[in-house]
Amino acid sequence: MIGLWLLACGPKIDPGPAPALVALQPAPLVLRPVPGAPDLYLQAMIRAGSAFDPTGKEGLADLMARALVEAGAGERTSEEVDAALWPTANGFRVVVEREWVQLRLRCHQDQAALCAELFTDALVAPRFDEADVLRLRDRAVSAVTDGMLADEELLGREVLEATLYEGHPYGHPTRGRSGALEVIGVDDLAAFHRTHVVRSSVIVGLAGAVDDAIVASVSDRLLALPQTLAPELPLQQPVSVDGPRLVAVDTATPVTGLWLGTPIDLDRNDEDWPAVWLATMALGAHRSSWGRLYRTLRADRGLNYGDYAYIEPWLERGSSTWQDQGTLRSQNRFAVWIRPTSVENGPFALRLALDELGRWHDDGLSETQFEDARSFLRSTIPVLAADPGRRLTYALEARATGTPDLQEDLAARLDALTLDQVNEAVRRHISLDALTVVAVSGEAQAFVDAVTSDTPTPMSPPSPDAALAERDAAVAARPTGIDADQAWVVEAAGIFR
Amino acid sequence: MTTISAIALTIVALPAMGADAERPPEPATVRFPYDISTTELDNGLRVVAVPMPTPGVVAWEVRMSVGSGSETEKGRTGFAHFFEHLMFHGTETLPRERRLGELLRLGVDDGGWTWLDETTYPALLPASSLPRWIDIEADLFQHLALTPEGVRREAGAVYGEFRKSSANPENVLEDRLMEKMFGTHPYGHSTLGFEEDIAAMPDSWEAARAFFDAWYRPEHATLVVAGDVQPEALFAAVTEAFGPWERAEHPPVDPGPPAERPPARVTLTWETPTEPVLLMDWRVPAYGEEGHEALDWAADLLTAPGGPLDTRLVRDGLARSAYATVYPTVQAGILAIRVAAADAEDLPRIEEIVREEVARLAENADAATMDTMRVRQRYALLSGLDDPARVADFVGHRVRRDRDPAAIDARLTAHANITPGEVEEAAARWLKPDDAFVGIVVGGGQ
Repeated sequence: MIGLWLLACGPKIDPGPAPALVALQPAPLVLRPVPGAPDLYLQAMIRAGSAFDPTGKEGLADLMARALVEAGAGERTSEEVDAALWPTANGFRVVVEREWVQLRLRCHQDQAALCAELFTDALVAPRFDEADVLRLRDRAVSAVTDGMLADEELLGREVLEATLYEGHPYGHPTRGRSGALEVIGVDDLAAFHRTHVVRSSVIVGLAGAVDDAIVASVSDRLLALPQTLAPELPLQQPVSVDGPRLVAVDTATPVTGLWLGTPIDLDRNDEDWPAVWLATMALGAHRSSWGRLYRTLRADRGLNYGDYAYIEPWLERGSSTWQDQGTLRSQNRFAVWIRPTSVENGPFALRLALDELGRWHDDGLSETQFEDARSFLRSTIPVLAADPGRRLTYALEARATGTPDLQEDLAARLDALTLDQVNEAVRRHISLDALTVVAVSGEAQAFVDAVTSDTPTPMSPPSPDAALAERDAAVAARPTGIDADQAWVVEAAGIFR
Repeated sequence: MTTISAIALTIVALPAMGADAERPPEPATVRFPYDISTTELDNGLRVVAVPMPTPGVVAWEVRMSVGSGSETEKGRTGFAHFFEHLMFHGTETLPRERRLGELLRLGVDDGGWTWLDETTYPALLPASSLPRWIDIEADLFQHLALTPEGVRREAGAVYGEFRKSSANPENVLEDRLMEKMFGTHPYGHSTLGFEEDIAAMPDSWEAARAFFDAWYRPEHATLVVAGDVQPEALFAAVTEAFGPWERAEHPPVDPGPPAERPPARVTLTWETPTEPVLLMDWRVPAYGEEGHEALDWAADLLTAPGGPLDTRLVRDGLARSAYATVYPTVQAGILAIRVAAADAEDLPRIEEIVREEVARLAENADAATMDTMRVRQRYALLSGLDDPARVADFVGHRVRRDRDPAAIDARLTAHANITPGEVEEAAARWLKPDDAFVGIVVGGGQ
């Protein structure tokens, strides 16, 4: 139950009253007014992500979340919601991850009353009009079938999640499975909403052009949320494995892309979190050119387009290099994304990634790498929240998950770090002994054969830089540690049926 | 050096939603909501400052007026984009690795993108790092260190990007459609370039050198800084750092306007299942040409909520989504409609509906919807322009094309005052149903 969960994980917040009373209290409202701001930002975090999907109805949480804003609400049909929002030049944004759903809307202050009504209607009075729901369901089916096949890098990431979290609530894509989606009906959405979108599972925030009238109106409307306790999320530990393993997904495209990962026991409340986060950014900051993997695979050798590493789910914020906030999980995994290379160089790319990972893990960052990374991350903290809406998302995320607000305390936590702490924290929290490797390849079987054998797989053509030759020769012959009986080829089509 | 300041207040006199339909709408004057200051250096570099209330943060952008639409040399497609990569290699005084380290210490988050008409280098950084960043960028744009080894290495990364792109059926379809629309004109090849040209990039150091010498010149550059910036201090620092940048000795080869091409159809069958998609493109007036703004309205009218494509395709379940847009390209315009079908079998019916609705627009552009759209456009400017990166992009996009920031308000005003009659006229002239270039992608077994 959410009340207990907040109590258990929220050392930074007031423990508050007993769970039964939590259910009766209004949903918390976080206010971040900014005098003179032109826009009003309305946001909610709802503890109703895809990990709450009932077995056999995978995709229900995501469908429900989208239907809040696309299947009518309050007095309005979906067409009327769209027509009302259209002149505002803004629209709802819905973000769904394993544990949390976010609903966001920004409006100019001229339209604050209208937007507050649309926003709260979506939360408390969705209509789930059948024609809309069926349309959304059809779109979801397409996303996990055709859509996933057309985006092989996303496919790789989802296969990694499914493999790491087999039999676990995180183990299916947020969009669901196509076979399960087909049996989800309007009644399922209504029931899921009734159970999961309640006072004790919703946190609402207002920022920017916030005035008393808007606060009163939103508070009043939120009282319509049911006074019940939200269901708990029982999360078992992910299945542990003894050694490295490989899932190779066979596709029609003549490239090989990779995802590598392993579960970690670390969240933002852990005192080691800033250390491991910094080290992971230095290894592979998302879509940036300064990470070690990027420099090694792309910048030095031109093997592919980019190479990144993560310790949290990473949903991109627009087209930026930064993470969208509000997507935290209570269980995390370390993951590495090696973007597509030629089929021929796939095995070398894996060996080189493993080699660089090993050096990063065992030898640690250098003093310069540590100082550069810290300096960069520290100076970008204000850049990450340049508008009131982003600052609000940080605050909501912290409040909802009982973790520190990164905007408030990350700078001090980074300042307090030492190089030794960082390198030791990596070794303490991340083990590379049992990595799960996912390859998405036009030649999946050949990839499996190459990386489970002792035959060297050199880069072709060889690197133009003679200074790299020695390492490349060693890497080409580097064992991956993957046994042939721990490697499987699966067909891409129908994978999330 | 001259300094122009376009004083901006707010948007005035737009007709309110639900205004009396009998009364003709009053002419509206639209003003961009921030002051814009500009200067032009003696060498032709255009510099723009947009102060905004974003304490401690600035967005930076250098826009080079060279894109894949400038690539006239056979066998050298993809070079504008290739340069976007090479520009991260640093200089003799600040080589790549040292540059990376310094950028990290300065907190600079930089990137690049390339399209048909331009290559843009945006960055987001702490305002306190701006003075040093100006020097680093000035050094880079004047003294890029291009080595044969660097060119060879980066070519591999470009090939990787090509592989990533070509794994997406819609990218492949779009490329083929552009080839049909523009033939041998540079718009006819994708920004990434033809695969055989990408394959030849590793040995193209000399061509790269020549490309840099021809295009990476101050007269082709627009520099925009938005956020916590003081225009006069910026102009002084930029003049000192970028002042020595020399103009090109010869102007680059102008590809000339693309020739007319007959309508064509491309059908792509992807080996694996994929979402069935219909693309319908029309060649229309370019950015700045008569009719371009009216067609922008046409695109919005077609796909507005409750508009014809929303109603007949999306709401009726034939399509999962329907979008229309007019590319702001300068050598030729394109009005592009994209419909994702629910079922490949419905593609012919969907195409027929699009043709019907495009024809209908030439007869009747809905005045009431246009009034609502005027309100929408007003709030699109007033709400959401609080992000310095977005503002830099908005301003850079326009100033690079028009040179004069006063043109921003003029174009916004002209756009806001387009009448239903002008939309109908433009649709009748430019969107003839039979002139469409049609692309279809269906997956295996569909």
